[in-house]
Parts: sequence; structure tokens; C-alpha cells
Amino acid sequence: MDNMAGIMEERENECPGEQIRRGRTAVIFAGLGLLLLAVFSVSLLWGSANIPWRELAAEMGHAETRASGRWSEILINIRLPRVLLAALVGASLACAGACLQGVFRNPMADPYILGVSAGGAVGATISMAFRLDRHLPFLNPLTLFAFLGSFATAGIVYAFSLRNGRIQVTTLLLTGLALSALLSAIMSFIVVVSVVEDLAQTVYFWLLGGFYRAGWKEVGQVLPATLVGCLVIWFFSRELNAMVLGDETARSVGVDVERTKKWLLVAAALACASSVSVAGIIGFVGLITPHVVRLLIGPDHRVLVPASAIAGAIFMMGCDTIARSITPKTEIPVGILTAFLGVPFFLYLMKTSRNIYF
Amino acid sequence: MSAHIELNGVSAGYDGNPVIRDITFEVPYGDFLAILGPNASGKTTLLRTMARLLPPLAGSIHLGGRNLSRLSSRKIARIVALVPQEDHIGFDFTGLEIVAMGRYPYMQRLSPPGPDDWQRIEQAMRRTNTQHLRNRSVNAISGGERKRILLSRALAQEPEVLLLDEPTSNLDINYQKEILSLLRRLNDEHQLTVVLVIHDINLAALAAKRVLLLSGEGRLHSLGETETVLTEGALESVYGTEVHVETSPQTHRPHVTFELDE
Repeated sequence: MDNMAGIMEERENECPGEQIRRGRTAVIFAGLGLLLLAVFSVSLLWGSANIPWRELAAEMGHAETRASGRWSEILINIRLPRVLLAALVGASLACAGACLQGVFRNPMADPYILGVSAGGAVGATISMAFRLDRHLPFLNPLTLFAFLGSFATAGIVYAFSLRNGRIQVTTLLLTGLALSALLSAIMSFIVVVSVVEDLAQTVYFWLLGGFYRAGWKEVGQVLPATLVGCLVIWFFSRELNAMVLGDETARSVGVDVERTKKWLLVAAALACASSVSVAGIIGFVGLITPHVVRLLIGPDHRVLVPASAIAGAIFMMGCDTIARSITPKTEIPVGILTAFLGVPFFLYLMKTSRNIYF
Repeated sequence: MSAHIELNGVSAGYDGNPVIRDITFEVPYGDFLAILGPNASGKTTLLRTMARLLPPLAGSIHLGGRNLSRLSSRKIARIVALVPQEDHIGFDFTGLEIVAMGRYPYMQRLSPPGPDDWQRIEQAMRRTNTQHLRNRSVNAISGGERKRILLSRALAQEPEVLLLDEPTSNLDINYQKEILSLLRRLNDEHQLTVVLVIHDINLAALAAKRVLLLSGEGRLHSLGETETVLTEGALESVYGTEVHVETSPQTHRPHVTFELDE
């Protein structure tokens, strides 16, 4: 009985801390939700043509101008799909990043740095070069080939960086680097030998990354893969938590590590490839977002994965808004902007986290 | 009562090359067994095989009379807990979050820990005296504290058998004493069967009830009560160097010393 009383007492002592943590998580999610709405609204109105919201509201107020008015036309057919696409791509890349960082047990993993994005771009290039979209009417061949490219790259990087059951960080980053170089060479090669006319232009677009080709068709193309990829990653969040303690520990608590890793690499490749197929290679979103979210909310993947998805959407919509409104007349590819932000961040991580992660 | 763990002609290794060969022994319920042997004799391989992290190349392992290869990994995780030597944790999890991971084999996917889970987590932390580390990052605490958190995580699995790989490595004597005393207490008071791999013969002699000595070729050299196994003859033949074994007047346990080469 004494023992029971002790347990009850401790339960009472323990609860407040738990509640504080849960309360904090709820506040952070509410904050992220509000920020998402705010950035979404601003992204809709800002751009090469700033939409005056008073005139827009006036148009929306009349049945005959609701769908055909000048501003509502821009809003519905140009701005809205573009902003949604940016949000979906940002969420995908952030989830893929969180997933890869967990699987590789390293905060420097990112679909771009590991070459997974470049793999997707090569797959997409191949499907373009062989005009495979004409032969596969039911399935989007671009996304499928991008997925195959991303998955193959992720698998190769994983196989090469695994030594005696442990991931070697230097090998991981160097394999990613080497594969990225090889993959961009393959893309150039295909462009040179291909007879498809506008392939060079498309490949150039993929290499820089951006949303200026965004339309409702692209939104439809990316949505299912994003949803499936992110949900699968979230589904395995407890396994990801256990795997952060090492494969050995994860297996000893009953996690089927090999099967879990396969699923997670498939999901990360899917999320990443769907992004690449509509927006090209956008680096560092998957690096920065989970890292910052982890500082805010902790490393538990059950909350880290959904929070990263929201934060990735916010970050990507924000970057795209800046990319299309910072220069008059033209817009800069958003991949350039994320690289400007991401490379210093990567170097900072490398400098500060060596003691813990190497 | 039958043996808690029973190995029968077990060989195991990597890529088809056996590291340990033809090992047969039993671990009775409530045993505290130390596995000793020279470098590369397969101590860790033996432990990993007992945890079924490594499938045996030959032979069979029985756990409480049931064949280990027929049990699911979740089922095994409810009976056997392992504390690996590696204690690197990539991200800033809190002590509580780490210990809670020990509930994995009992929990349903995507559901939060229930009252019973929290009670077990609390109990595990109380037994290892780590409640104050609940909200601390595991990367901001000392090596001894991190070991205790990882031990808590293993206890949260409610195991019958605790396997530990070098639990005292990289720890100073204060923490060594703390960890080994804790293991002794768990063994005495909670009838936990403890099997540990350890480098330091004197620490093994202090803590363990029985000792298993592996020879350099990965074969079982001897197994039995600490005093009967840790003899000068056995140690010299296994380690290939001259040692002296005496009974410590303070602890009344065997104590191994050696002289440096001239």
C-alpha cells in the first residue's frame, strides 16, 4: 500500500510537467496555424501585381464579376494555385527532411544535400526525353519517374553510408555530394543527346527550382503524393523516435528496423519527387525547417513531423512571395533564394554541431 | 525450474563467418552473469545473439523454454531488454522521452502512453534514481546519468532479462560503482536476470554471481561461480599473459593484478 501511495503521489508530481509540455505544444501549433493563415493571405495578395483587396472584395460581391473580374481572375487562376503549390511543396520537403534526418540520425540530412532531389530531377528528365507521358495515360509518368530516381538515390546513399550497422556521417555527406555531381552530369548528357525541343529549358527550370509554372494541374499532380508521403512518415513517428537511439536499441524495443527504413525511404522519396516534378530542385527547406521546429517543439517525431509540414508550407510560401515580388518585371527562381538562406545555415550547423554528431 | 536462457551449440557472426562457435550454456532464473574474454573473442556478438539482434548461424536459443526464433520482436522486447554500449543520441530528447520509448512493445501505433505506461515509466525512473533528469536534454547530462537513463528505458520494458554491453565503459569509478550497485539491487530485489559483457575482470568479480569466460577463438572456455572460474591458470590461458589472482581482504572477491614487462 505504501508503494501504491508513493506511485500516486509521484503521478501527481509528474502531471504538471507533462501538462506544461502539452500546453506549450498546443500553443506552438496554434501559433503555426495563425502564421500559416497570415502568410497565405499575404502571398495571395502580393506579387508582380499587388491585388487591391478592396477592389477584389467589390468584384467578389457581384455575381457577374465573381469569376470573371480582373482581380478575381488573377486570384483564382494564377495566384491561388501557385500559393497552394508552394505550401504543398514546402510541406513535402520539410517532412522528407525530418524523415531523412531521423533515418540517418543526423540533422544535416536533407533531400537536396543527399542528392535525392537531383535523383528525382534525373527521373523527370528521362521521362521527358523519351516522351513517356504519351504512353502512360493513367499515371503521371513524370512523378513516377521522379519517384524512381529519388528512391534509387536515397537507397544508394543509405547503402554506401552504412558501415557495420552504423551511418557514417562523412560518408553520408560525401556520397550525397558525389551522387549530385553524377546526377547533374547525367541530366546535361540527356539534354545534349536528346531530340526533344524544349528539354534544355525544362531542365534549366528544374535545376533552379521555382513556381512560375504553377497551375491547378500541378496542384492536382502533387497533392496525392504529398499527402501519402507525409502521412506515412508521420505513421512511423514512434519508430523514428526509437531509431534515433540507434538501430540496435530500436530493434531491442521491438521495432522492425529494416522494414521501417524501407517504408520511410519510399515515403521521403515520394514526397521529394512530387515536389521536384512540379517545382524543380529547391534545396535546404528540408534542412532548415525540421531543425528550427525541433528547437521550438522538441525532437519527438509525433509532433515534429506535422509541425515541420506546417512550418515548411509557411517558409515556402514566404520565400516564393519574396521571389516574385523582390525584383520588378521579372522574378528570381525560389531555389536561389533558399540557397542564399540555406548554405550559411548548413555551414553554421557544421561548425556548431561537430562535437555531438561526428 | 528450467533455465531462463538456454543456448545449444550456438554459432554466430557476420556475413556467414562465425565469431562465436558452438556455444552451449544455461542461464538460470535470477542469475547475474558476467561475460569475459579477450578483445575480439565475441563477447558482444554473444550478447547480440542472445538479444536476437543477430540470428545464429547454427544452434538454438531458448528463452523460458520457448524457441527465440519463433517469437516476434515485440514479444521478445517484453521479456528481454538490451542496453547497448553505444549511448550516442542524435537529438535533444529529454530523459522522460527516452525512458518512454521503452514502452514501445506495449503501445498501439499513434496512441499516447496510457496511465499504466506512465506508471511503469515512473517506476523505472525511480529505480534508477533519474526522476530529476525528466526534463533535461540527454545530451546535456553526464555520461553516468545518460547510462542510467538508458537503463531506465530498458526497465520500462518490464523485462525479465536485462542484457548490458559494457555498462561501465567510459565511466569513472564513482559511476561504475553506482551502475553496478544498481544492477545488483535490481537482481537481488526484483529477481531480474542480468547478463553483462564487461572488460574489467575486477568489476566482474565484484558484481557478478557467475562468470563466463570466452577464449580468443570465440569458444566457451569456462563457466561457473566467480571464484572457481577466475583462476590464474584460466586467465593466463585465455588472455595469454601472466596474472596474479588473490582474494581481496576488503571485498572477499577475487582480485586480478599483473606486473608490467621489464
